Amino acid sequence: MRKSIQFIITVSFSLFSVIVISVLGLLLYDKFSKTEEQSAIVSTQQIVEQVSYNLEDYVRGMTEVFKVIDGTINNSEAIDQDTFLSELDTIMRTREDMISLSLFTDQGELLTNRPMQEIRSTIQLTEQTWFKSAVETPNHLSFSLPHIQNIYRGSYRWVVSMSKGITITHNGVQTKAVLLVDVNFKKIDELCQRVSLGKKGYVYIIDDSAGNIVYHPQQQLIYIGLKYENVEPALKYAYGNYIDDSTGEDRLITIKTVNNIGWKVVGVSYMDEVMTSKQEVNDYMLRVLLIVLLLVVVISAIMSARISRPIKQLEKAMKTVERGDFNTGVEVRGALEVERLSQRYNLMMVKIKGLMNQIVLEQEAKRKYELEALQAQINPHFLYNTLNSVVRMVGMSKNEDIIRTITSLSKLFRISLNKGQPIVAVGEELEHARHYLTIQQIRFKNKFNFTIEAEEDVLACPTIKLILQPIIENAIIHGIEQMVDVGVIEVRAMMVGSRIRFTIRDNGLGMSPEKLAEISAGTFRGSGDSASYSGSGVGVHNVRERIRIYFGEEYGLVYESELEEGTTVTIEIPRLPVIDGRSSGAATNPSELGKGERE
Amino acid sequence: MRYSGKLRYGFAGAAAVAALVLLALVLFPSMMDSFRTDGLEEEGKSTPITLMLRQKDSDYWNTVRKGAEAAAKEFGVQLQIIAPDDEDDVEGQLAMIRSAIKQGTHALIVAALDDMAVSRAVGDVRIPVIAIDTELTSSHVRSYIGSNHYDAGQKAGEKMIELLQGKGQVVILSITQDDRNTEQRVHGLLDAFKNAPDIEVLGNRYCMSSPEYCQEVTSVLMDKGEVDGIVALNAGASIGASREVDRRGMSKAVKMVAFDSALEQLELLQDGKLHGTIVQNPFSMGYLGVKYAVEAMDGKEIPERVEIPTKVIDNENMFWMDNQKLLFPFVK
Repeated sequence: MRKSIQFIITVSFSLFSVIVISVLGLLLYDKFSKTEEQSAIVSTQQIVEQVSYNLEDYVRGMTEVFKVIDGTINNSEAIDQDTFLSELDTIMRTREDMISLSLFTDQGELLTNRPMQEIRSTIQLTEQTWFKSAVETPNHLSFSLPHIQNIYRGSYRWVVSMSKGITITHNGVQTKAVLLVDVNFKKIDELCQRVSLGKKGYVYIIDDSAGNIVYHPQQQLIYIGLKYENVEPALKYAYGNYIDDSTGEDRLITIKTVNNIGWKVVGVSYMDEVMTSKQEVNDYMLRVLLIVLLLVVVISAIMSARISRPIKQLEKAMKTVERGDFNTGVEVRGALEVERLSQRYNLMMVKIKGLMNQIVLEQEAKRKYELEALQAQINPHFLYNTLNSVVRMVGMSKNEDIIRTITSLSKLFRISLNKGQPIVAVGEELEHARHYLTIQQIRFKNKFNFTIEAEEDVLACPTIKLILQPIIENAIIHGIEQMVDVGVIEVRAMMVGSRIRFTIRDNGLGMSPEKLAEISAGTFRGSGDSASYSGSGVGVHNVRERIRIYFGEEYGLVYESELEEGTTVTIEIPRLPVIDGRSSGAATNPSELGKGERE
Repeated sequence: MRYSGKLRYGFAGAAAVAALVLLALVLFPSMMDSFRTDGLEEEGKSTPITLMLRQKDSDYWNTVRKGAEAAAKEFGVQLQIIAPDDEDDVEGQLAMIRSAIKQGTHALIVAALDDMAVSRAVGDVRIPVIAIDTELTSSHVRSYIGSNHYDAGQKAGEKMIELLQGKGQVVILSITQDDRNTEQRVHGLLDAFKNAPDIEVLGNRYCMSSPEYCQEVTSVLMDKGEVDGIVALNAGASIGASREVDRRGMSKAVKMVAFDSALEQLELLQDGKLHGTIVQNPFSMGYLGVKYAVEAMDGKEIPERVEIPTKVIDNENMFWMDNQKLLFPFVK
């Protein structure tokens, strides 16, 4: 199926737009997602760093508080003084995350604790990790991992224990002691909860040495094994980030080590959340692409309709012409080209109309001239004269002449009529001329002799009929008749290049240059001074017009004449290919043509 | 000509209409989005999941509650938790289940007191029903999440055999006869004792969930004869029994194996008055109950049975890091 212009424009335009937009969109999208990822990494990093700094701050703060307590204990003279205890209480009250404070001797004997809590009798204090580390490295503050504080009766709490081996004055004696401060997760939890890493993202803390989870927002689920946190790779980094997909989702893990406690803050953000704007942009771009596509389709549909509508109108107009109506003009408005096209079309239509009219006129003229030529043949005057001659000859018993005359007359009419066909072979036309000349020779009582010569090649060539006879008639009537001597008429047919040339030469009176000019210009219509000429008055004009109509402007006939010398008429027609065998067959044998002379 | 003309305008017209519609869709995606999310949120808020516990205040059930709440928060569903005052109120629990169904709860997670009665009560509901802690024998129940109680009973038996070194007289204390969990635990326990011919089971007593009543029962039992070991199949019984044993100053002599990890039980364990306890994982039970209920509501396939492993805890291993995490629910 052939595609319409409308279709082609719409499709190619849309396709082009879509490709351009898609490529552009993809490039932008790619660039955007890279930038987005980078900025996500940076912002996660910043958040994790912030948590880490806060945590550091917190640990430093706790250390400070611990120092204050340590200092207070050092400065007090006796640990069971009321003022000392109330001082401790005051310190405790300032920190709500500090849940208990205890002071033990290095033998594991409780000296004092705040708030007052009974120590479980069954407990082996010296076996506790925090106690051991305090005794082993005195004067060093150690942080324990999160654990259940099980030394107090009636309470089990998750705490981080801060412990330090110190020296105190007890009962006036310098003794080694262990100071224990338990801190709950409230503050750490707060620090981590404040962080926003998208809806699902979170921050957790691991212990650097063993990879134990210190804090995790879903601590309980992880402890029980319902959730899993892949801490192994996190342990390898001190600072940095990587993408983890151990949970089946792409997660951006960002790690920062907290300096003074040996913990690591690990930020987990979900890529699909971090990259939400990526998804958004994706959606947006898809929508824009859809809109553009639609607009492009609509616009190009409209555009192509606009372009093709005038063309369709033109087509419509042409169809009316096809039906034969040449009077409809095309009034198409539209693009410049289309307007021009319609103007050209209109011009062409005018031209065609003109040509059509011309053809009609020419056809009419052709018919008219043919009719005229034919009428000239059956001119009653000619017939009458000829028959008169015959009657005269009958009286003189010139039987041979009678037979010749009647035979020639009959052949003359047969060729003239030629079944109504305007085209005959050159041979037939020459034959026709010969018969005519024969009749006239008899009529004019051998006032002239004639010869007919033709090149063999031309005999079969087609020509229009009745072009020689009117010229010969003129030669006889105007050239020979008034002559005193015996006249000569020579008819020749020859090939000149691609033309066939007939020459009809007489040695008669000739013409004055004025008359010659008139005849050559085609304005001469005969003087009408003799009734016998009336039939042939049309002769030259008729022949010239018919040649012109049939063969074109460049063919025709030329008169050459000199007074007292004679007139030569040259007729030129194109050499056309032989029509068929019939015309050549009808031609008379050329050897007979020359025998026009009266014996 | 006219036909094709009409066609062209038809095409352009259709394209224009489509373009306008799409333009609207694209230019007002927020409208669409809000419409959609509104619907979702509304759905989320109006679909409460009901969690039916066996008992209102107990360490065990509070842990279940915490697990359920953690899951509800994580999956963004509204959770309604109801429970009868104590573990004997079978009728009360049934009434509460019926009223929850009537109120149009979208999923029911139930820890049944009386499995038969509850099975009947949920027999013709169309919402997902998930059993936790206690198995239900209704085809409507989509999933069971909880311990293998027979297995737990066996573990208790093995621990007791170990404590008594294969020889002694044992008393079993439990809540009620009708309780399915108890039944399974007893079954497992007795099967374990079959391997120790020298263990003699003196009796299987029911003392509801009240420690006071269990203390009395224990007292009566100890008066009757020499008791070497007590297996308490629930927290209340173990607390009551150990009070009586402690009162008589026989904590060292009478070995006691219990179930669950109530705070008081943990203290007893640390103080050496309780020699072993079979610990379930109530937090997981609550969490998974809600999780699967949400998945069932979303039309997903959920496992028919999720067995949460039990663990034998004693004085030695109770403060191991792993066990600390299991025994002491993390409270912020």
